[in-house]
Amino acid sequence: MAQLLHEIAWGEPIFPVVPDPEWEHRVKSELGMVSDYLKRLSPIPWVREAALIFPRIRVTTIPQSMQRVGELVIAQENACRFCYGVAKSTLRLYGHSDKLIGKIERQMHLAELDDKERAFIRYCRDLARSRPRPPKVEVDRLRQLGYDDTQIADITFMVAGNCFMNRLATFTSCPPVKMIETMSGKWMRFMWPLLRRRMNKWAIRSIPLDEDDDSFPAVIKVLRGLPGGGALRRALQGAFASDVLSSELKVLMFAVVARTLECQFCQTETKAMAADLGIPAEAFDEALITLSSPRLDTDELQILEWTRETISYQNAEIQERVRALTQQIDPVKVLEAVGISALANTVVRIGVLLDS
Amino acid sequence: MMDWPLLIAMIVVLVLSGIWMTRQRIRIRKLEKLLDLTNAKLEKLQVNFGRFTPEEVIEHLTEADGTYRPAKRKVTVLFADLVGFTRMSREQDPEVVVSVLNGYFKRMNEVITRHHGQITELLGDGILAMFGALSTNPWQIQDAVQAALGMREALVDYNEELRAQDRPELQLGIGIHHGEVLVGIMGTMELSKFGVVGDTINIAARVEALTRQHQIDILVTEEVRQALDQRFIVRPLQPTPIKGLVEPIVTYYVEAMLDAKVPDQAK
Repeated sequence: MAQLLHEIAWGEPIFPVVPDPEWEHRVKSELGMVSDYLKRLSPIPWVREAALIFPRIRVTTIPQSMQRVGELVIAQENACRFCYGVAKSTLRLYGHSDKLIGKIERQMHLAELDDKERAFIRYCRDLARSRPRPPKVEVDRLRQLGYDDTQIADITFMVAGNCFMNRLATFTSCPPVKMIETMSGKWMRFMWPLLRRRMNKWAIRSIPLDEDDDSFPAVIKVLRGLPGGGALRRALQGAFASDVLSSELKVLMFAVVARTLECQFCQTETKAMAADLGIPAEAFDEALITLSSPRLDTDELQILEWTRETISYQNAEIQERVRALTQQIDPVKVLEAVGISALANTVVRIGVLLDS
Repeated sequence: MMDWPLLIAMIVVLVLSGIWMTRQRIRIRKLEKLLDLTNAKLEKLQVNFGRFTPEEVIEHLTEADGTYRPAKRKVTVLFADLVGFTRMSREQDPEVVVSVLNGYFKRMNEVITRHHGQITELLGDGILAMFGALSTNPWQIQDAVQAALGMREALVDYNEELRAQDRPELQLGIGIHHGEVLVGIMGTMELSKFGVVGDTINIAARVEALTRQHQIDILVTEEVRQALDQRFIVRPLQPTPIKGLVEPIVTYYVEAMLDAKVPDQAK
C-alpha cells in the first residue's frame, strides 16, 4: 500500500545551496520568492529551469481539480515527501476537506467516483509506478470511457512530469516546503484566497512550440498543442546541450530506462541517437547488457550503473546511493545525472502513448 | 385566537424531530468512528500482509473481483543449499546451529537484495531466490550470477568469523537456471500463499545438487550461460543426467567475473 506523508523516509539534503544571484532574481521575479530547492539545483541550468517550469504546468483539457487529486496520488505512489506535502497542501488551499484528502490518501474515495474518474486515478497510479508500465489496453480503456487523445496526452504528461519532479526531489532529498504546508493549516484559512490567487498567477497554461524537435520528436509530437510539449522539448534540448556529462552517457541512460520499462519506441529511438554519436549498434547493445562502455570514463560508468536503480526504488537506499556518488564523483556531475535519469523516466513514461 | 392544539402539536413535532435528528447524528458519528477503526485495522493488515506478498498482488486481491490471475513469467531462479548441514545440525548444539544459520541467511539476503533479487522461500538450510519475478529486470541473469559470486565471497568472510568463534564452517552449493514459472496464489481456502511453481525451480534445485557431484560451488545451465557476456569466466562440465529431463543436462562452473571497468584484468 502506498505510504502516508508521515511514513515516508526522507534524509537530509544531499546537494548544498549554491548562491546564484542572477538565477535567484529571475525566480523571484516569476514567483515572488525563491524556494530552497531551486537554490540547490542552481549549478545545472536546464535542471533548475525544468524544476521551475514543470510543477507550474496546468492541464488544459481536464478539470484542474482532477489534476490536483492526480498529483497527490502520483506523489504518494512515488513516495516523494517533498511533492506529497505540496500536493496535499494545494488540495487544502483549494477547499478539499481533510476528510476527503484522507479518503484519497487511503484510496477510499474510489468507491464514490464514476468509472471515468476511477480509470483516471488508476492510470495515474499505474503509470507513475510503472511496474510494469500500463499496457496499451489501459490507454484504450481511457478512450472507451470518453477521454479523447488530447486529454489522454495531457494526463500522460501530467503523470510523467510529476514523476520528473518526484525523482528530482527524492534523489536530491530536497527539504519539504514547510511554508506551504504551514500556510495550508486551518488557522491560516484567511490567507487561502490570497495564496490561491498567487498560485493561479504562477500557473503555466501555454508554452510555444514552434521549432523543429531534435530529441524524441515523436514524443514531443504527441504533446503538441499542450504546455507539456514545449516544457519537455526545452528540457530535452537543455539536457543534451549541457556538457557536464557526455552525450554518450546521456543516451545510454535513456536507453537503460527504456530497456527496463520495456519501451520499444524509446529503445529504437535511443539506438538511432547512439548511432548519430558514432556508437555502432553492437557496441550499443553490449553497453546495455554489461552496463559499461569503453567510451565512458570511470565516473560515468558508475552513473550508468546507478541509472537502473532510478526506476523502482526505496527512498532511504536511493538517497544513500546518491549521497555516496557525490563523495566519489563531482557533485555537479551527479546533479546532472539525477536530472537526466528523471527526464528519461518522464520520456519513457510518455512513450506509453506510442506503444503499438 | 391562538389555536393551542395546533401549536402544541407543532412543538411536539419539533421536539420529536430534534430528538430524532440528534439520535441520528450520534449514530452517524458512531458509525464514522467504527469505519475509521476498521480502516485503521485494514491498513495495518495490508501493511503486514505486504511483508509476505507483493504490493500488486494485494491490490488485485482487495480490488475488483478479489482474484489474482496466475501468470507465466520468465525469471532466473537461484537455489542455494549448505553442504553437510544435516550432519552438522546433528552434531552441534541446537542454539549454535540456529545462530550459525541465521547469520548465514542474513548475509546471503543482503547479497541477493543488493543484486536485485528476492528470497522467495527458505527451505530448511536452502534458499530459493528469484530475479525478475516482481518487476521486469532485463539484467536478471547477470544479477543472479553476480549474486552467486557475491554469496561465495560473503561466505568466505562469514567462515572467518565462525572460525574465530570456534564454530563449524559452512560450505555452499548454488544452482542457477532461467526459464518460465507460474506465479499465483496457491493452496486451499484455509491455507494459501503467493508463490511460484514450475520446472525452472526444480531444474535449479537439481543443478544445485550436481555441485556436490562435481565438487564445485556455482553451477549454471546453458540458458544462463547464453546470456552471460565475456566478463563471466565459465567452464563447461560433462553433461549429467538429472531427474525430470530426458537428455543429460549441460552445466557450467562459474569461476569468476572480470571487472569490465578494470581493463588490466581482461588481458
